[in-house]
Amino acid sequence: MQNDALQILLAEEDEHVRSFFRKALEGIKVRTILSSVYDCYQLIDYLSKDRIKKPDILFLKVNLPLRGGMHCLMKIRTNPGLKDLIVAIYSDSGSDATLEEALVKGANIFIKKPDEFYMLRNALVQVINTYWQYHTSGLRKDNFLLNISN
Amino acid sequence: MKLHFKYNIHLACKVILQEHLEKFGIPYTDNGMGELHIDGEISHRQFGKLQASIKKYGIEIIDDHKDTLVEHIKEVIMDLVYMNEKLPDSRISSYIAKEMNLSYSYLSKVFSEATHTSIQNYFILQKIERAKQLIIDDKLTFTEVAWKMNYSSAAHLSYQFKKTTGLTLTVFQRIIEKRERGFSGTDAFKQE
Repeated sequence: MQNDALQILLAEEDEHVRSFFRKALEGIKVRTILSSVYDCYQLIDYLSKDRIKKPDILFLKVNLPLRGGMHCLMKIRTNPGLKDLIVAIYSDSGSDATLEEALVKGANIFIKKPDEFYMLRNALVQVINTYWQYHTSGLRKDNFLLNISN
Repeated sequence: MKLHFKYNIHLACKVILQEHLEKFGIPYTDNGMGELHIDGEISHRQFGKLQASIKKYGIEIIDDHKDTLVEHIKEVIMDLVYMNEKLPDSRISSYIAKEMNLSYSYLSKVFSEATHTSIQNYFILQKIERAKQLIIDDKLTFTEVAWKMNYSSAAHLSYQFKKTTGLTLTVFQRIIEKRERGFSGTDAFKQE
């Protein structure tokens, strides 16, 4: 079995939200290592560097400073070296148009970010557990589509 | 008449093991002290069969047998979900227990401990993945997919699809179609 910790990258400029994610990840069963970037350019820079441990899942804010999450998403999906990166895009509003745009542009997961801590934790558990099944069973990642906006 | 026996438990177990390993065509070397060296690799299937057939003698395989068992359960599920014909009516619990000749409650416990999900949920996830492929690659209609995957109706398939992915079948199909068009250079991937 793969016992390595999952590498999680969070693209979010707000320290409160970052600590919200950090605490939620600490409480779940799968072991994770969290890194953060604060804006679009930092994110692209982070992803362009060679790393021994590449991120497995990116949590990407729709309204990320400088160029926005959708722009970063497009950059990621046109880079063949990042084809295995699972992208979970999140937004405060869960409009159908944003959901569809994000998934069409190549995000795997759309999350309407909940305000309640326990709901965020549940959403993260759902993302990570689903990721785990795709990862360990060799499922096709381009068919990995998940919407968590209820 | 009374008969008295004297038995050597170690020898008995050893002979049983030897007989079973030979029966399943598994080459081995006996290292003594309850450890066997398997010459080469054995398949999950062979492993599962061996495990099931010696269990009634109270012999269990220790070490990483649980991982192997989990892989075997996954293989049984995949073989079922990806069979060419319509999926059978039987429940997944009885199907797996019968295929693997072990109790479902035992299998279910081992599976959940190792995979962060249940056999039932894993089965549903695999069925939904197969449904996606049938829709995208084979261009089957929702009704045809529902029939093949043994859902009572397209509505039932749709309900389970939504529950698993958060998306309706129609939205899923539209996203995939737009992605395909997008990659050939239309509006979806237009530069800002």
